Amino acid sequence: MPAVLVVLGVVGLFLLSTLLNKNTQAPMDLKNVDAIKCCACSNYSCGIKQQMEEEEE
Amino acid sequence: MAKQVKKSKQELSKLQNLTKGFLKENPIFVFLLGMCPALAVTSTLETSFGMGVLVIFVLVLSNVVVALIKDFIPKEVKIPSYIVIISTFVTIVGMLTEAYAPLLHESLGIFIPLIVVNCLILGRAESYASKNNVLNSAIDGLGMALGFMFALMAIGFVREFMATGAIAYGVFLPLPFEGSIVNLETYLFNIAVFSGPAGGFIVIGTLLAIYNGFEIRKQKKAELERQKLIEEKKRIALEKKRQRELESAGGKA
Amino acid sequence: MSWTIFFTAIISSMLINNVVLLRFLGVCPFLGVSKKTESGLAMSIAVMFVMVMAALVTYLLYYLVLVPLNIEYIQTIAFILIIASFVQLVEMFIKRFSKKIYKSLGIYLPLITTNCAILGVAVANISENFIDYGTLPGLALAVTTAFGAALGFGLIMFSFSTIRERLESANLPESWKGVPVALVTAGIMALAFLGLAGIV
Repeated sequence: MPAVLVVLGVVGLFLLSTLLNKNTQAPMDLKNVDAIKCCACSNYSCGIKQQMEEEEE
Repeated sequence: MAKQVKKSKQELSKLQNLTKGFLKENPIFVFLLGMCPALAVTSTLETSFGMGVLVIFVLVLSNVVVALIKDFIPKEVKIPSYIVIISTFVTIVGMLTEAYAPLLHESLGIFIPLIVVNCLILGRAESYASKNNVLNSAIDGLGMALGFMFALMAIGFVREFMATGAIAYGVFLPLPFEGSIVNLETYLFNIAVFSGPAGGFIVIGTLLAIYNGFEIRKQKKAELERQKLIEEKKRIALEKKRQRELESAGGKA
Repeated sequence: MSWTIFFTAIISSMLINNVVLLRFLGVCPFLGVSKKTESGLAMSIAVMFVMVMAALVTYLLYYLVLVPLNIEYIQTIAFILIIASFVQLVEMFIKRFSKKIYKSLGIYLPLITTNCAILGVAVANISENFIDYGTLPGLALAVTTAFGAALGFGLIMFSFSTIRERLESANLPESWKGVPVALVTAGIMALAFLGLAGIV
């Protein structure tokens, strides 16, 4: 029982922090890297590298 | 009639779905997913087999559950719910391993909880299971995990063989061949580095280069064949043209 | 207990048990690191911050909540969620308070949740039983170890981004280009780091 409560608490904490983060205005537009999409990307030198190069151009 | 055709096509795609993980879309050699366990637990064949089995369990079960509940998850909480599902299965699998294969649990160590952050599992949940039905997701999970296990065992085979001159010198699993089939008794020529961290990097790099080499050769062959086909077509077209010209000339004459 | 133990912890987790080369945690960002030194450094600063704070939070969670309630088995779920929410909070604070930091670190923060070095160091801290030194010294030791691990990660990211610059211009067979040669280079670096094993 305590285990379920703790897990629920942690999940709640995560949801709360996600919500807070979403509601905070970003100071500028950065192309958001989706963690999972980047994870499933097949290119070894994926997103990060390309994005940095794109930003520079 | 049309239905039958459709069905057979689907079945074919299921088989392909299962087998694509081995070479064409191998998670380690093509996508470079899950490199951390691929380097860390492959010092012997048996530990890599054990890790592969754990990943099969977690990937199939998490894919099935994600496919089952994909319609009920709001888009905003997709990632945390995937993480909760995966880590639940990882915890279950870890406890089962501790109970029934304590030696394997000991030798895998912190890499059992780290299955949670293995990009392979999260990636399949996001890119396949969240868009397909339960059966296909289960097949996809099984195929991908089998491919992962196959790659791990290939690496483990090379590393253990280079380091000890034998395979499955039985610690973790009661295999029937227990180091009796492949054992060169080469105490003087063993390269112990290969069971350590440096060997892991070098063996994976070499295997990857070999795989790339085959792929490049295949591509070159395909390119050559295509070129030949194009030339053949050009030749035929030219011949036809010449014949037509001849005919027209003959008609005039 | 003397202060030297903290120094030993830093050296040991930075060089002798280097996260990337000898413990294989965080290999993916290591392979994906660009040849631009600055982006590698920004990544390792973000990792350092999150790793130290995550070590602190997970240690407290484990010994103040999970152990008293006798539910150590949910460690994995609790840790990964705590780390994920921590990353979200960090991103929020950076968004609110510093435009400059957000510009340089912003795109790395969402990736850190799935960086196995963070969870790996947190779990390893628990299995090292630092609590034997007492609760507070154990906490300090855990945080120091995480700091050292993050330093080691940054060291490897930095040195590898410079090596990669050389590798790009090297005349290699087609099949060795890219990841294979990077992995073999990492193997040679790991051999070099094995030689440091005796210094503590």
